Amino acid sequence: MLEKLRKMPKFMKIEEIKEGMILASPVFNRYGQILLPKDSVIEEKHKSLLKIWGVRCVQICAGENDKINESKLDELYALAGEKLGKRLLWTPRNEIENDLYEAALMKIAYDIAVNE
Amino acid sequence: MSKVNANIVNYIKQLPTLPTVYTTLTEAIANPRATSNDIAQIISSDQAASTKVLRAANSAMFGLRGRIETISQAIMHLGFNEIRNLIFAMSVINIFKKKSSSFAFNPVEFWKHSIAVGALTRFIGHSAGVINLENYFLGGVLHDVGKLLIFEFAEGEFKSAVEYAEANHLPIIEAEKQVLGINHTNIGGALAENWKLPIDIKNCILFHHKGFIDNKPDILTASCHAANIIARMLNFGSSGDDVIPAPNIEVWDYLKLEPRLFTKHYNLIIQTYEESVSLILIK
Repeated sequence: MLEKLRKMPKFMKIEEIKEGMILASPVFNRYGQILLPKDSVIEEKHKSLLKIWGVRCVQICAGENDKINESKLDELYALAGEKLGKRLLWTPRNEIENDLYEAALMKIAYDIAVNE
Repeated sequence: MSKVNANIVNYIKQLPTLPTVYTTLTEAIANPRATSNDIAQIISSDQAASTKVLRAANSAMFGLRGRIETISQAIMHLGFNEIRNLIFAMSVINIFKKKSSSFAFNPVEFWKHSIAVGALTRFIGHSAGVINLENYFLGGVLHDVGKLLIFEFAEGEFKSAVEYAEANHLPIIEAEKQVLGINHTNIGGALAENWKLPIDIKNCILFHHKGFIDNKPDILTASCHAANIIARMLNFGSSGDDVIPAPNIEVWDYLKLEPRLFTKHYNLIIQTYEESVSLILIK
């Protein structure tokens, strides 16, 4: 679960990306051709190239610098459960709803972590 | 007919028409003499539309990553109607003018929710084994369009409904009925009729809260019903109310989705949502 949270890709503006970050999905030009493949490691020159190509944002792997760590996971999930509980007018009744609830906790925990 | 309802119905008639490229495409698709090249030419003549079609066709939603280089290839893989609907979904936001509000309703967050429901309606339809998914993304994107009409043309009344929903911990549809005597599904349905959208999309707008059409199963409406709940649970934008109503349990039985669908495809769901939002909201 921790691994999944850490690997969750996020969109970042070109101005926000930093050297060493890894592309979670390829960058395409307007004709659908690949400019930078998935897993490319961002170098300084890429930032100006991406701007020249008119790319506004890219999808980055959350990676090592992410704020989520093992010790905080329980706390994050407790907070996520509390937040979700306030909005839900029901409790999960079957397998598919349990699975949806689990995915929702994962997403809300992630949102809490990155917005801290 | 309540005053609000009468006003909105009048405003629907004054709303800007559909994008030219959409209506031209609809006519061309209906013309038995039109060739695939004719359709490709119409799309290519609108540079903004063709750029977005290529980006969309290569996005996670269609699973064709990097394989679509031309409009003709996009037509071959996605079909005429899917592309026409995609162009509409990507430009409908421009029809509505208000970009902010003075109360707890944020049009940008509203569009994020709508786009999420579009992407998820398609994902659910696909997961339920539907082959022809051409109306799924657009149906989902438009499911709550009635709310935006009320906001656009009766902002004060919409504010009352939003605040009533918040104070009473209710879904907005209940607040609309109690405060305004109307609801966004009927307003959206009237708009779909005015725009002459496919009947499946109109039904999806009208019945997405129930999941079935007058108790009769309908796979697009059921997919959109589930998508609306999923988008709320995953915090994808905001549709104006904070509560998450219970899904119609019969919808799950009808859709027969694979076990652990959401956790198994978690990254794909997030990625499809992020890419779709980026396509439509970021110019």
